[in-house]
Amino acid sequence: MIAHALKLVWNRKRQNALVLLELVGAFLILFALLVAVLGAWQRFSVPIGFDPEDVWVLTARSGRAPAPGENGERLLTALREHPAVQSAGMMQMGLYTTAGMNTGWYDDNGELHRAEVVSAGPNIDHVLGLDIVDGRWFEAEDQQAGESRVVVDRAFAETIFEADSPVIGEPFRLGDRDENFRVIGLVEHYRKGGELTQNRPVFFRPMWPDEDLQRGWFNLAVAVQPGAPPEVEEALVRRLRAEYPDWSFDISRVEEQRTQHLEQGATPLIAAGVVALFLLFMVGLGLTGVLWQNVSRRTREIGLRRAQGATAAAVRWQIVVELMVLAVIGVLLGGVFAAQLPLLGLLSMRLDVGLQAFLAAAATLLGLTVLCGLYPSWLASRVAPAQALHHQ
Amino acid sequence: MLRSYVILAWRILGRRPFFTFVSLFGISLTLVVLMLATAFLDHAFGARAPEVNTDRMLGVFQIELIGEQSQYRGEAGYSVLAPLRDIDLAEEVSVGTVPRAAVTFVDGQKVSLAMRWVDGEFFRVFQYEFLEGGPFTDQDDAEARPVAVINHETRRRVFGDEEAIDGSIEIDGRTFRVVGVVENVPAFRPASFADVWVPISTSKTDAYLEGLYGSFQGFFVAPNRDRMPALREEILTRLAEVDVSTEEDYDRLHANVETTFDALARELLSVPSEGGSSPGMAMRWLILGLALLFMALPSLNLINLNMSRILERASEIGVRKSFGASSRTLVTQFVIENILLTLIGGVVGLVLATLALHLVSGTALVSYAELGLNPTIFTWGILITLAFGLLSGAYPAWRMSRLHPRQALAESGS
Repeated sequence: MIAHALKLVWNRKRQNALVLLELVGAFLILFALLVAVLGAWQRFSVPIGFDPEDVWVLTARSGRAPAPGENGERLLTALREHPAVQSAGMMQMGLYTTAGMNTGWYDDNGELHRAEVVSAGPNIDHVLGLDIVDGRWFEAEDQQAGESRVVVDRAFAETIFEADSPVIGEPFRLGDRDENFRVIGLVEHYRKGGELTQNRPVFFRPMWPDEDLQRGWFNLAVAVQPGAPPEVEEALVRRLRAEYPDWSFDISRVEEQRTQHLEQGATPLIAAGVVALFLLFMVGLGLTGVLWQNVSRRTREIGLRRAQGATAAAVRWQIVVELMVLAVIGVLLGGVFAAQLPLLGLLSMRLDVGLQAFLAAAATLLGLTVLCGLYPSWLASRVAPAQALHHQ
Repeated sequence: MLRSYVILAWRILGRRPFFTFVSLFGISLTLVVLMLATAFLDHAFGARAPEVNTDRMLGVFQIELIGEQSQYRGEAGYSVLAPLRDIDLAEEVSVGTVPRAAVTFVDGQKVSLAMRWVDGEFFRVFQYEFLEGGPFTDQDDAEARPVAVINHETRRRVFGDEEAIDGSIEIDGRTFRVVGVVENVPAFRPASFADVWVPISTSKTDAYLEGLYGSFQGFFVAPNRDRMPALREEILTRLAEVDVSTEEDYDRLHANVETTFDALARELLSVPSEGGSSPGMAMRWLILGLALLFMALPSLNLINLNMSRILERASEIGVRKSFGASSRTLVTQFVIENILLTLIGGVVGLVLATLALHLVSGTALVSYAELGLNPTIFTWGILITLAFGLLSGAYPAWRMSRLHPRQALAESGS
């Protein structure tokens, strides 16, 4: 039957070529949309490793080169005095920002690795609710340790150490760099950029609030009592201003940043999804129209088949299978096109996401063609042999 | 002749409502999407207040400091740009910071503000629409008067129904006197967007006077477009003279002197900063390519539908051919029919697009965006529709005209 359908498709190749082109186009649009959506979903389903609830971040900026003696200790002490503040800590970068420090190194095999370096001080584990699975977070004693102690995430540990080997207390170096590090803690995840950013290896270096500043700015994270009113924001900012009057301070609620991050990530996907749905709906209607016309033109052929004993179901199948053969060819052609994108490096996507998207797009397109074939094939099945003869 | 074509086309549209509906649906909704995109692009890149000078304005948006080990890419320091103010080739030169986060509190509620520190010329380079009061002047900047221009949204949030002009606003612990209120500028206009503008000299410290990097941008308005290349050369020459030896890590300074569109395109397309290619041009081609790609599927759909419908009219074609109608006549007839159909779709699309623009402007998708139909967008809509009609009508018409009368008449039986 499929061979027969193929022959019929080939016989009408001129018109089918255009329909095929339309199907390839529809497949590519579906594929692109699904790559974006599945990619976002896959990133979203990995935990971010911190709890944004009731965490506020204050950005402190001097707007000039750091002066000696200026540091975060005074500000942290001031913050902790406020009754609504449960804990406070210092970190270089804020949350839900793509700005950050990165480092790259070559391993023994000459392969390039990259990791994000996060500078954060004591207490940050409490403030952000970090998920420390092994070892511990930075404490005051690490400041005088005389070695570079770091906390790493699972992904980083996996790039540096053998699988299943101990991590805590282990020393390591980054490629051929001079600095020796020692791991004191392991967290499962830490994605300060938020749910929709790529997951990449991270290691934390300690940041000491009582040391002179490296840069003219840093962030202070505070965990506040649940439901702390907005007046507390003003009180905290005013308190900090009293310490360093010529600095500027900004305050933001991490939960709000999270909402904004998700909205910003979802908006283009929703817009693209609406446009793609509209295109698919249009393609579906168009295919139905083409098929309908096709069936009404082939009354004679169909009538003849019925006269020779083909059942109504067989006729229905014939119409649907003919379209599905076209759709399968379209999916395969589209797949060949789509495979060029990662090969040419135009689209950075994970292979599993690409495969899932391919399968989902193929299934959707085939489902769409079956749906389009329903009404025309039903029309075809109602053709009675007598009608065909009458037509003659 | 035309009249009979139009009447014929009208009859045929009514004959098979399903096909007509499918065609109209595809055309009008494609048009809606394209018009929304056009409205957005016009809003983002078109010459509209305050950026009325964009087509003859050059900017130094970012600089690069390049050394053997290190590289800095970001906004320039005040000392790099301030000396460029005496360039004679430019009508106006302004120096100001990019928007920086600042906060004010109203009845204990935090209001986040994007704040720019700018000179007096800034308001001549960018023609903001003043709703109340006016800009501050060079004199205000020179004397470090704590005055501020705020946008409409900030006025609403901070002052409510009260008088805003001469009112005071406390930002980052400093009190400013409001001298002007301007219409909101959307955030995707990076050169002019802000909530509050204050004189540069009101900075808390004068540390901004030193150093090669900071958060400043320079804007240069040429008297006309022809003078832009000369102005660019002059700015580049002057930037090349900047003494980099004060920074030990860096050997030289590089900057692109470009239009706001080029700068934005460079950012969006990640075009490397040192290279001859024009990112603005690449961006235009990319937008055009995307639009064509987007139109391809609806066009194919229409072509396929039209192809199917030709055969429905085989007898008509056969008769007309037998009576000596030339292929050209038939092609003309069919294309006119199709253009009529797309124009109807176009009108429906325009109505829907107006509604959609209204809806999008109502949501807070993008801060301060007020999208609306204007003559530019309307013209584009009509042009797109005509392109559609020709694109999807020409090929089926050509195929139809080549039908042999005998074949056409034979087909008519079924």
